[in-house]
Amino acid sequence: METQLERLRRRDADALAQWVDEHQNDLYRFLRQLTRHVETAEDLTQQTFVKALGSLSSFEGRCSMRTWLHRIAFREYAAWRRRHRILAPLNPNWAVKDRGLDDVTDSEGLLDALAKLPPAYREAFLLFEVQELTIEEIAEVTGDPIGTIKSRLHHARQKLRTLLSGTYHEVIHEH
Amino acid sequence: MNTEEKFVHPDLQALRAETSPTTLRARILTQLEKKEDSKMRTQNRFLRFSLSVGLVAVIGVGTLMMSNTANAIPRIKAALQDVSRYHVKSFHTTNGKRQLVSETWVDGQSERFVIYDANGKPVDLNQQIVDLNLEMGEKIKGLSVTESARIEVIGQALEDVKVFSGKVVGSGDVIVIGQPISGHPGDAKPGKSKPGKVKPAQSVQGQPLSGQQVIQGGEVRIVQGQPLDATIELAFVPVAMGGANGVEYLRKLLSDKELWNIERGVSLKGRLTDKYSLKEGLVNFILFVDPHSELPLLTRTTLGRGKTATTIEDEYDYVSALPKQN
Repeated sequence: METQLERLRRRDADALAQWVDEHQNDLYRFLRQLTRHVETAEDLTQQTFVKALGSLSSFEGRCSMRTWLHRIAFREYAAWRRRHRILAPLNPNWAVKDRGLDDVTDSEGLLDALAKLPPAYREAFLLFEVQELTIEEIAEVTGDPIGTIKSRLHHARQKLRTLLSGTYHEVIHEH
Repeated sequence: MNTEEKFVHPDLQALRAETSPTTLRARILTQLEKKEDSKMRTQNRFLRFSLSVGLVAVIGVGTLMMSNTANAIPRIKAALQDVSRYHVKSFHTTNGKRQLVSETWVDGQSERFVIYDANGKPVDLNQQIVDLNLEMGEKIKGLSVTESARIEVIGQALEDVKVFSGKVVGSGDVIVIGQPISGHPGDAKPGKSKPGKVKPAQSVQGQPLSGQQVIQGGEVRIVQGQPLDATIELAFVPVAMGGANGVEYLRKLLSDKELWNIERGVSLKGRLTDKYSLKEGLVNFILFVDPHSELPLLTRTTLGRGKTATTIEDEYDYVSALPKQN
């Protein structure tokens, strides 16, 4: 019985469609919320799939496909962020107009607060709280030690608590 | 037992429920199915656009707020959109040395791409091409930027990569895994071995990184047992606008008619052309246009000044047939 991975490696059209269906929303959401730019998120999502397809031979299944794709998406985002940082001084208005932002403004309050955090905190937070990856999976995605991820999450929450005073609370849960 | 905080916020569910635009699926699938060798092409394109039209895109972004002129631009745009067959030669000039770095032939849906190495020989694109990320941590002090980098094949970390100090990595550089970077007039100094780390690059192409500076990408050849050609992203590559090819970038740029100073009847290799210069911008950008066909003949982007300036030129022609496939 041929696995999905094997079908993907031989570029089976149905397998490709299924693969995109399974992961497209997940990756787009992650990238959109990181970049806060619809078109950029679309570009990076597409680029993630393109790179992943070209790199399938190196996918050994040591982590899940979802984690692996997040890892590639994260690399794409990191590269974009470096570019964007340089672009920002050129035209501060560039990132303001986000075609499609109207669709998601209801949930932008939290993203506004996240935008005020250091990128590493924001990334860890989104991966954990929105993408619902485990600490171990986040470490796999970002390439950082588990302790570092935990520390970033802790600091992210602390800062958000201040920024979102009145709309934020946290609970302790055990698992 | 693992005890963790849990964040609760009214926006969180909305963020988790966010979905992609409906058109994205088709776009991704088209991209995936269209290209059997999509990764290789992507990387090759990436190099080319990093080196050339990416800069053009940045200029476009950086100068969108300019005042008014030029009505001719939209006509050029229209002419470009009608072109399905063209040939682009990209040259890169540094330290007074002009080098052909790539050629692209497009004929309808067909496209062929050739990258040339530092000796002017075509790079064998049939070699295995690995997909690399150059991950960089940044530490900004004033206007200088310290880069630390990790080289990694997607999904597979490279082992035994030396640490480099103060390395200037440039186009055509050769990195030998486990050995110092060679093939560049920079001052690569191997540091202590630390798997997966390469650091730092304080300048690129001989130019210091700064918060106001655009740096182009570079091609780096990775050797691990056998030669592997790869394009890595280097420093800050201004390709944020995205786009499928150089002409599309140009179309975007040309869609803004307020960007340009125009001189008519400027001679270019014996032909009278119209010369369009960006009024302002981080880098100097000039476009020479054939006044009859209204098609671009040459784009010239200059980054920096004096001896350290880097010039990227794309020469367009619209008659070359596609070369035979190897």
